[in-house]
Amino acid sequence: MLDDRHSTSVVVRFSPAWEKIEPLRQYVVASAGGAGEKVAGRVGIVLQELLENAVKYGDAVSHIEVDISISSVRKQAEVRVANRAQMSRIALLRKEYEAIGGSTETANAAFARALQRLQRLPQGSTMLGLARIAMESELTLQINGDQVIMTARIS
Amino acid sequence: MTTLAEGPPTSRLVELRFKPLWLYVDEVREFCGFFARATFEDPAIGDRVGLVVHELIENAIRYGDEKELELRMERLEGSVVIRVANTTSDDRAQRLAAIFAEMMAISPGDAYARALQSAAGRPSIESGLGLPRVRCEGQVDLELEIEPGRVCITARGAA
Amino acid sequence: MSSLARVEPLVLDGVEITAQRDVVAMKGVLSMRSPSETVTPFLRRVHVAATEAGLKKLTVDMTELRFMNSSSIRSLVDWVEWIRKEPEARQYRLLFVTKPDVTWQQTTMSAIRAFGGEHVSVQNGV
Repeated sequence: MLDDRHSTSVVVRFSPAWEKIEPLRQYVVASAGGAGEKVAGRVGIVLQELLENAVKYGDAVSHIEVDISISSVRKQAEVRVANRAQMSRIALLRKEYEAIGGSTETANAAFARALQRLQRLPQGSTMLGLARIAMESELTLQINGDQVIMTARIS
Repeated sequence: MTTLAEGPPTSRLVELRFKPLWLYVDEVREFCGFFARATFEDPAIGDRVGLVVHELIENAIRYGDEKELELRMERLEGSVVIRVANTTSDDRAQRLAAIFAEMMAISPGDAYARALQSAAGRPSIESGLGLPRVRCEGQVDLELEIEPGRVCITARGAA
Repeated sequence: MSSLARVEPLVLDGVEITAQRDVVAMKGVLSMRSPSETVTPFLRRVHVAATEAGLKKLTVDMTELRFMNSSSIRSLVDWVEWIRKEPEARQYRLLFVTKPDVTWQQTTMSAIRAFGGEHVSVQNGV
């Protein structure tokens, strides 16, 4: 994680609950202000999407771990969210991640495709989350059994 | 840099490290209070945690050296534990130790009552009420650790 | 116009304190770094107005106050001390109205009541 004398870090561990997302997002965005509005804004979007995914598709019992570091000097942030996912979602998650690829260009195209796909999805499902995260950050995914770690680097 | 004492990872709820700026105090209080309320499913615990966090961070900002502040909130064996560590001068650390020892020699209620009585006679920039308030209203046991250039206050209360 | 109405409201840093008739209402969060520079002088103006008006009771409505730091509690301590130092004929009682489900209000005002003795009472609002 980023670690310089001018960094802020936030580590939170909590049981999955939708109502915990917004206060955490608000606090982190306020803390990220030192890195500039652009970075703070992206951190907010990325964190929101990662947490929503973790709450929606994670196992309802295990804790979600969030580890965020923000450098006001380098104007960068790193957001890591780890949790145990429902096994049925892991294959889908891997597929979505691979569809996004590693470049912003691919992420933009993936987001455009995801928007087009919306109408064919069941109500409440958007599948936009990962694509949106990838548009705002460099995203990496690690999967160990049912544990999922998403790390987003923002600058 | 020595970090806060390690605890079992599964008990850790919130850990924050930030530059000790006044503008963060309210945000941190609201955030920690909310998380405590949600985690322990008890608004009273949320209120107590918010109060403890607020006063300890204010002290760290007022009397620290403006370099570094760490906060940790944990759940341990039926208690909520809040630790605030900050860098400071050795001189201020020793003064804190003396104030702390004097406060801890009497009960939380008596210490707070005594602090209120003597507040009016103090210079207006100091109230001397923060730690007695934390101990009494926060219903926590307090512990102070001092190492060169750094102080850590641990508050533990039933949850 | 009551003399309290001549006291201009204090609005800054997330808090608003108004004085009307015999009620001082505090809204928001009282957590400024140096309330002795703003809140204390404001309360002093309220105190002077209250004594000039010959008030025997002043209600302080805290039901919309979300938090108060210990430095602000010092301002309340000063207020009680001013009342104590007045000749008996000019003294008045402070009635703090609190929200029953806000823990810090219950504990903080309980301590202020113990400190303030006959000059302070506390009541839960609805």
